Amino acid sequence: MTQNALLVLGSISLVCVVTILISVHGLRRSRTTRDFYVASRRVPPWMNASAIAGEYLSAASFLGVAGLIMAFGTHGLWFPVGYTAGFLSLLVFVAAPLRRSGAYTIPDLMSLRLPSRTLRRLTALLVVFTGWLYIIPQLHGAAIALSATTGLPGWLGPAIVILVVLPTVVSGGMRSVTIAQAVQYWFKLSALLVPTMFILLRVGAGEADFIPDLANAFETELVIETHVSTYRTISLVAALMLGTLGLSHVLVRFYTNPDGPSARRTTVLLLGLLAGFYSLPIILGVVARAVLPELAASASTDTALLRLPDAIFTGVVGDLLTALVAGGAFAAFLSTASGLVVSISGVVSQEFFGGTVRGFRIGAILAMVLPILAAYITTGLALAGAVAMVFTFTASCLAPIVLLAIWWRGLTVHGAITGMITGAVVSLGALIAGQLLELEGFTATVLQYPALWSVPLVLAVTMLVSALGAQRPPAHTEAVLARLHLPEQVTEPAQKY
Amino acid sequence: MSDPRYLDDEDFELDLIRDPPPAAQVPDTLRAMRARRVQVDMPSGLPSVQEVLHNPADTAARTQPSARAVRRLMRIQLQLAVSLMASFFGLVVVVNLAFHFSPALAGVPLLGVPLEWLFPSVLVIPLLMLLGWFYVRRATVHEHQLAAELTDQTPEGP
Repeated sequence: MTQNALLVLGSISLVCVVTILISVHGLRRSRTTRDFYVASRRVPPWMNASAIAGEYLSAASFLGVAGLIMAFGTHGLWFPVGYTAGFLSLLVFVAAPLRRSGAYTIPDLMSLRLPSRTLRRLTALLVVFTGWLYIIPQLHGAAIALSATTGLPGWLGPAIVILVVLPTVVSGGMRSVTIAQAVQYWFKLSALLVPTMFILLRVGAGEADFIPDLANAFETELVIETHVSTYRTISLVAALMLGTLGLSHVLVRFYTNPDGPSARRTTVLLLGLLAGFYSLPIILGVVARAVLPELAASASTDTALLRLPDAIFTGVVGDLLTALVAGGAFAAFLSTASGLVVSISGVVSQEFFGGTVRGFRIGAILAMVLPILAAYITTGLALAGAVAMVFTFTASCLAPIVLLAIWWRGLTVHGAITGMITGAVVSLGALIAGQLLELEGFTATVLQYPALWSVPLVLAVTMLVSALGAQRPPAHTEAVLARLHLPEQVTEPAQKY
Repeated sequence: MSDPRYLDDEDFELDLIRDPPPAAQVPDTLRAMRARRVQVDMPSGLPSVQEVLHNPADTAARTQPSARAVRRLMRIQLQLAVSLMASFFGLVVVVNLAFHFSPALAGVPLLGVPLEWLFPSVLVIPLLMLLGWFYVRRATVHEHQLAAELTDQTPEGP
């Protein structure tokens, strides 16, 4: 085994060990009742924002964005825009009302607003399914990262992720540990910041014959595009902007804010943290375009970040930087996967096992096993592309209903159920058809990026069925909406924060 | 902080997790109660809507905001949210269409970087942060206005 591979393995094991240690530490700390119940309401906004960012920045953001910028140029640049804009829509539509509702999951929110067992079950199924879809790219990323840096067989990467995530989640450790996710954010940031500094210094002040022609990076068309890209970019941004509203593992974190205003402050801080992080893969992606143009043709653009340090530095510096990036990538897989597993198993346990701990553990195991199977069937999708599909799915089936539930008093159970089913069927159908059918040109793009038409369709279907159907909105609608929207100083005047 | 009445916050632990005293020291009355100890589980069912809405601050003396006030608040907050998101998304659409129909515009170099590259990578994300900051300011003002109107209506208690 080469020195490079050993360094990478060392860095990955360090990340895994630190993750486990923080979880165990958190598990011990949250033994007291006070920690369990009160600490969750005393998390300061900056800590909470770091935790949400730590959970949110997945394989797609860490490895995928730079890869897409390298392959598709400006189209790839809109991914970070969409991922960040998702939190703006979360801020303006959902953050404060969700916190005030006291709902812990999306099914909780739905059943507070519309009491119906069927709707609750359907929402839970969609949330669990979304989580499964979202774990698949994380496991893919682990396989790619490990085999690209060490040459070890690909299955070992997902195996490491599972071996770390399952025990920590099953023991309950991740449940209350906001700090573990928060640390992961700062670690991921440094794992890209340090290589970026080194690379920029080298590129900026290096020997004259080494400096790659950066101006060339903006011009070269690395992948020949056949279809109309303007529709694609706009539809992608729409999907990413709304998809965040349906991500259960992100929404859960808003519960740990003390009140509505602090939920808003958390989200504004979060916009800053995400902006800070995304500037790094953008810079690295542009550099990779200039330095590694041959990689774009090889269809393994997700490994661009992992290969970049060795392409620019020789010897031990390159190896150390590669190891750092690989460690950061594993931090991304671990934090997102454990956040997803916690949220999936919480829903599975509450819906199908009466809320028992045993149900939670079964849910956790299911949450990892099914995506592994799927990960071996579906291969070859770019990481950021796969995650964009998950966002398209939630933007179509969950986000419109969540928006209407918070803002529209006319929503009925029938309307919500019809809307969810329409969104799920239409978006999945379009995505699958777009992948499987050998279509060319605009039709293929419209099917592969359906958000621009599927979201308005679902909004229209839900509102029409609610307004024209025989069913009336529930009697307590006014009271529930007052609870969601009235500020705390009106509803809880005695409480001081 | 040596006064034992003022426990340091970090050292505070509930009695529940202390080891119980040896059985011999426990009086019979307490031992009888121990036998009826109940196991506490995570709630298996959901709280009902009435339970969630129940608010300990609700007393007869407080005027709850009228349904009209709630509607008005929701409407202005929604107007603010929709107009912010629509203008942001509108900007994305307009800029992309402009780049599509005018490659010359897309290629305009700014600081050595073509506009097509500079816009999404450097200009958009600060704009998002600005919009977020602006939203929080406006939304909080709306809520304070509602609260102020309500306190004006509420007669001060004795």
